[in-house]
Amino acid sequence: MKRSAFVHQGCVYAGDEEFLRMAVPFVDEGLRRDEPVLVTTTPANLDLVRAALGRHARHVDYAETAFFGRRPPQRVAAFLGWRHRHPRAARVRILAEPVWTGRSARQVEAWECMESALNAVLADTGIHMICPYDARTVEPEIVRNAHRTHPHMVAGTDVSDSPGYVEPVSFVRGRETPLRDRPGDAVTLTFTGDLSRMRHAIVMESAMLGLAGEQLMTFAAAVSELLTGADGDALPSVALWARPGEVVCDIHLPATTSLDPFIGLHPPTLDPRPGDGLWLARQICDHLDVRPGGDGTTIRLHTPNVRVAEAGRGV
Amino acid sequence: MSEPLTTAFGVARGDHAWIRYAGEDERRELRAAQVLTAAERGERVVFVHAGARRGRPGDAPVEGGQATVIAPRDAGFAAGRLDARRLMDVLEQQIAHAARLGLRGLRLCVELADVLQETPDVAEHGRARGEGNGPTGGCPLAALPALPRPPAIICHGDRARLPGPRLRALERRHALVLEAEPALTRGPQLCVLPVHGPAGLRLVGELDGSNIGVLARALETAPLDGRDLHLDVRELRHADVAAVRLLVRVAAAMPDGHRLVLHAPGPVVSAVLRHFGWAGRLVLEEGGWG
Repeated sequence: MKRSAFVHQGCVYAGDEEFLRMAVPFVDEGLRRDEPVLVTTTPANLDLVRAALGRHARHVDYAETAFFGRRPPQRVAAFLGWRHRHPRAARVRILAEPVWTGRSARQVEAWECMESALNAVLADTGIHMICPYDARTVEPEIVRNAHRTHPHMVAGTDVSDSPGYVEPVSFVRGRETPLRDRPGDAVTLTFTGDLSRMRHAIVMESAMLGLAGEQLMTFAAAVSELLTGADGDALPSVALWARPGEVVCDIHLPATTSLDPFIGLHPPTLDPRPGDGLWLARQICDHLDVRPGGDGTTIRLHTPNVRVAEAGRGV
Repeated sequence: MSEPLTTAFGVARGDHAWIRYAGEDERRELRAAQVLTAAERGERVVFVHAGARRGRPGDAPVEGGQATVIAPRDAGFAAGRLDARRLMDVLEQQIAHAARLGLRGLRLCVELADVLQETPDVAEHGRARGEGNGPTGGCPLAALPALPRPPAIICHGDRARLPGPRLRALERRHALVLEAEPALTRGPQLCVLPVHGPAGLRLVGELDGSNIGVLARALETAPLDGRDLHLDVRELRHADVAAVRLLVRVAAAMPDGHRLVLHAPGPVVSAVLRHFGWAGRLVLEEGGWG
């Protein structure tokens, strides 16, 4: 194994003791090897791990998992952000238990796709990650998919290959359901090459549909970033519409090759890359779909409207 | 740099302007200008015009965000006349709604020909009955009772669609008359100006692929204040990822102990810095210059 390899293991457990039989040796070994360790799991499991580690507990970083990246792209950014805080460590360890309860079908799909995408996106980061799944509370279908998204499974300290493992591109492509048709009242804007004018039109339509303030300007900037570099005869188009609680935006890029399904999940660098616009869009939107088609690629963004943002502020 | 009152962007709270435009494209640009101005000033735009979508039966009403559209009759315009009390109620509701969204004022944009009835005098002689008592006296919106935070009022009219006499009659009701084409001009897309105290550059406008070369050249010769490069970006309304990356790369290339200080970055620059993990690579000053 390369020193920088990403090791991604799932662990299905059905009780506190079973959880600790996996978690404590994983953390202990990391500490013994002087590897930085992060545990991000449920409050109950954080307490279990802290208590079990005793005096060694203070050498570990902890994060309540619900707040360590609220959405998949932010979760990826959070993993990478923590990794970058330890630039001198060749290897680091993360125990990362996703939150599954209370998620919609669309959210579950996005989180499962992220679990699979991590195998590509975190390659060569030197991260050893174990993702625990609590069989007492997690839906059986989600547990089954853990075997498809993790190349290895762990029970206690025993590691085995995951026979159901599916390569990330196949897994993600296999989960791509057709996008629902746009409603008849969607507003369509065709890009004619003047990016500034297009951005102003996106601001106006999004403002009418329910966005305001910083969110409005940042959303328009992200959509405009996705159009940056578009040229040639076939022009991209943008369609916007309101749904309860959110504004939805289709960006149709009549280009060429289909996009890498993980584009915009790779960490940004100081060198320009094609995924910059998607990175920004993934960070600020609630949900994002990329769908290749015969006549190009459609990127669909969902962002909460001001009423949802207002409720979120507790006003 | 405040916007002059000769542009659509310069009409501020308490002002009342008439802007004539020609055709659908200019109308859309004018409306976009009002929304952009509202976003920059923290205001909400209320458009009143015919053809406003009222939603399908059973749908939740679309209340809009930074902007909303109200059908004339819902805003108090019925049979070509204004029910001022009704409009005041609507404005007060909108001010309260705007406050809940964190917005501090209104821009009321009315398609005047959609809401005011054409009088026989206008049709025949190009003069509105009852006008002539002062230059703004004729526009019923000028006679609204005072609100604690008066809205900016912008009346619009399409000179490509309205007969000349009708257009002139509507126009004569206003003291401040603007033509859309110059009123939509905000100057160059990007201005780079030298500033002093501390020495540095002020960036005004929008930065994207069309003008990033201007920024790159300006940064090469920008004056340093001691060991720091100061950029005042409070009036930089947009910067794309490539432009923000250029700033970060310049900061990264500065010798140890030298700093790039960004003064008052707006929401887009701040979001790019935050989401790309670059905020720590330069110094952000939220406050004033100097």
